[in-house]
Amino acid sequence: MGKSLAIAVREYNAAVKTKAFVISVVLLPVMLCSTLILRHLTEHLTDSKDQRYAFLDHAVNPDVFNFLNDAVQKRNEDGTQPRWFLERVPATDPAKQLQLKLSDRVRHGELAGFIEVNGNDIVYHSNTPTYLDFRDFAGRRINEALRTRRLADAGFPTAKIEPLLSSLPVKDGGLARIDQKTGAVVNEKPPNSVAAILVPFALVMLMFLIVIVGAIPMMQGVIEEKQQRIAEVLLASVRPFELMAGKLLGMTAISLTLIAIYGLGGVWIAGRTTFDLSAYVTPSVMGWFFLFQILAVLMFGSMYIAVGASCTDMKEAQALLLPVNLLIMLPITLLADVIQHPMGPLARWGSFFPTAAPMLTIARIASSPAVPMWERIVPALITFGTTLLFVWAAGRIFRVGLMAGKASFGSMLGWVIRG
Amino acid sequence: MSHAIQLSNVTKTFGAHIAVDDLSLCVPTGSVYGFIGPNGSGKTTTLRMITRILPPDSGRVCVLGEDHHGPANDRVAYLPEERGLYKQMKVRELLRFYARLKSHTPAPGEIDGWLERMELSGHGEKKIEQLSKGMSQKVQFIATVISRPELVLLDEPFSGLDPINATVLRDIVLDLKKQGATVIFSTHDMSIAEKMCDFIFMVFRGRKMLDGTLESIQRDYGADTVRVEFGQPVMLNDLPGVLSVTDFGKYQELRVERDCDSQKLLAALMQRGVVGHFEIAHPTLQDIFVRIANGNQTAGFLKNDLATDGARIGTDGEKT
Repeated sequence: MGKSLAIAVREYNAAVKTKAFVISVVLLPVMLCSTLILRHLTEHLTDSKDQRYAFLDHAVNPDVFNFLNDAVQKRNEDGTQPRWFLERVPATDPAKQLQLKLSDRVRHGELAGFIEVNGNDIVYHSNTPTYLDFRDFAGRRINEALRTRRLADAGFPTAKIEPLLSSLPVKDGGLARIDQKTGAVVNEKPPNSVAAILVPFALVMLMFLIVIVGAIPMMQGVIEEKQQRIAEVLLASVRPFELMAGKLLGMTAISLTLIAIYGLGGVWIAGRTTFDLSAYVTPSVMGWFFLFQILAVLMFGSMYIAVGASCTDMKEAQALLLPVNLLIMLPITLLADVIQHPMGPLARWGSFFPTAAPMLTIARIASSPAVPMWERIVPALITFGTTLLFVWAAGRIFRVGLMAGKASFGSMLGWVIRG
Repeated sequence: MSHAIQLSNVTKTFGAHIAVDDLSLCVPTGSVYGFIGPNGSGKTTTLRMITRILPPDSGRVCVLGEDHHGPANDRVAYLPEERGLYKQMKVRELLRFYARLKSHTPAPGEIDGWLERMELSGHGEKKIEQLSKGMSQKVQFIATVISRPELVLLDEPFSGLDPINATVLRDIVLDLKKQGATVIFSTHDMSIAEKMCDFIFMVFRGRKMLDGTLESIQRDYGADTVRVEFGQPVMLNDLPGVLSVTDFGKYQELRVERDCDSQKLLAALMQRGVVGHFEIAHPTLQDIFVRIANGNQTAGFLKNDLATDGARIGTDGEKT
């Protein structure tokens, strides 16, 4: 144990006392929020030029156009970019000829598109089908105008109809419960939908990035030890399993350091903002996160170490890492669905899949307090068993691989079976 | 006599290649043992099996009384042929780390003492990558012996060292011996092996070819070498009983047949010219090495040569 500890301390110091680690610590949250930050930074780079649209109106009465035009002008006054401008084109010429003229204007960039209202048909023409903002905006407003017109035609006065048709906003409410002190039925605080998505997403991404930040340098270290023949010196002093255990211990310490840094950082930031996460980042959630994080570090760490021991350089490692990366990425690809439906079959069965269990279970627990205890304990046991299996198998690969040359999947499997 | 190492019928293969073939060896405690043999003959594999880095396919490896990797490994130190140091670590930190791997906590001043002895004072806080190759080699050597091991295995310890550093290293090896440690080192430098080793062990194609003291090996090979010096250049072809002639300029060295009569040979030489010097000698270790490596391992003996003792050629067994 003393030797493994000495190796763990060396690995920890080698990883933590580097500029790369400090940069990683800073970059980790940046990567986590990269989408939001990028969007914020590049907002002004999107196409904000004024856009002109034509309204090809087959009706004599311009009321629909006027209604839409008023809505567009109001939107422009609100400062929404890009600004839109409408021109009405009465259908005086044959429809096809008008369509051709307007289409040419679209092709030449004079118009961003044109919308055609003909009886019960609303048709939108454009050569930028990915930009749907105007299409959807215009569609909603035209339908409102047509509905008002139809009701007016049926003899309902507009002044009376509008209040009847007005929509009501949906508010979020908390679940009711009995207050233990007063015995009265009270409502809990309404859930914060942003936090409900953000917290599980952030926890899973943090788990993923902590594993990667620890595992990749560890694997590179093993390759370096093999290349530089340091492994030979080490193996003359410690058993291969002691060596690997030391490395995993060091990696665990690195991940705990990262958790401490981000945990304290999170508390510090939370104390300075009004964004209340206390309902989502509970001691229970953090306890499960801590457990699954440690297991994930050991499980994936042992895989990365085994790959490192089976390669002579990083180029070879990239080929062997493919299945490991697929396994580690699998829960990320399922994350959106799991957060949205934490009690659904995909989330439940996904959390029972060994290598996906740590991330998907924490995503479920952080998304919904309704996840039953057995659906937390079973994935934890599955992960624990898988971790033991992987550490054992990696130990056998490590023992032979460190003194061998390049290995294939077949030879790695052979080392696991035969030792 | 106790033995630091006992190998019994040890075999190690890598795929179809037999690296070590049914090897047996006993290394007496406190001796300096020289491993010689051509590249790829199995020296390093044997050393790796002794350090438990590689397990044998069959046979028994007993080191300091233990058959398996155990506490005794802390009393064994190994310097591999290709040096392995963490380039980003500082010298002092690295030495402390390697000592801890051998369950040894350096006493205050111990590391500095070693650095001073190896003329590395002032380099303790430098990173390994900042050191020259020779300096790194000396650091690796300190890392090997800092735990005060009972058994020291050195794979090519002198290669790449300048004569001054080689002398420093040699003195430390001899000091280790004086302190009771058993030292095994592999080398391609036959003169070092001849001067430093109590016993010589030669492995060739995985098999033991020589094992004994230098004197006993030479005696077993017999006095099959004649050194002769003439006052003027002479032709030495077609001499009776002479297998080969090597001209060293100042003198000629003749390798003779097993039943060659030295008196008849001297007479024949005197007919070719004025013989200034005539010496019947044992082959050097270098000669023996070359003969074995070239596949000609039959020892030649002069008729007048006396009996041999002690060493065995191509045989296994325990030395007494």
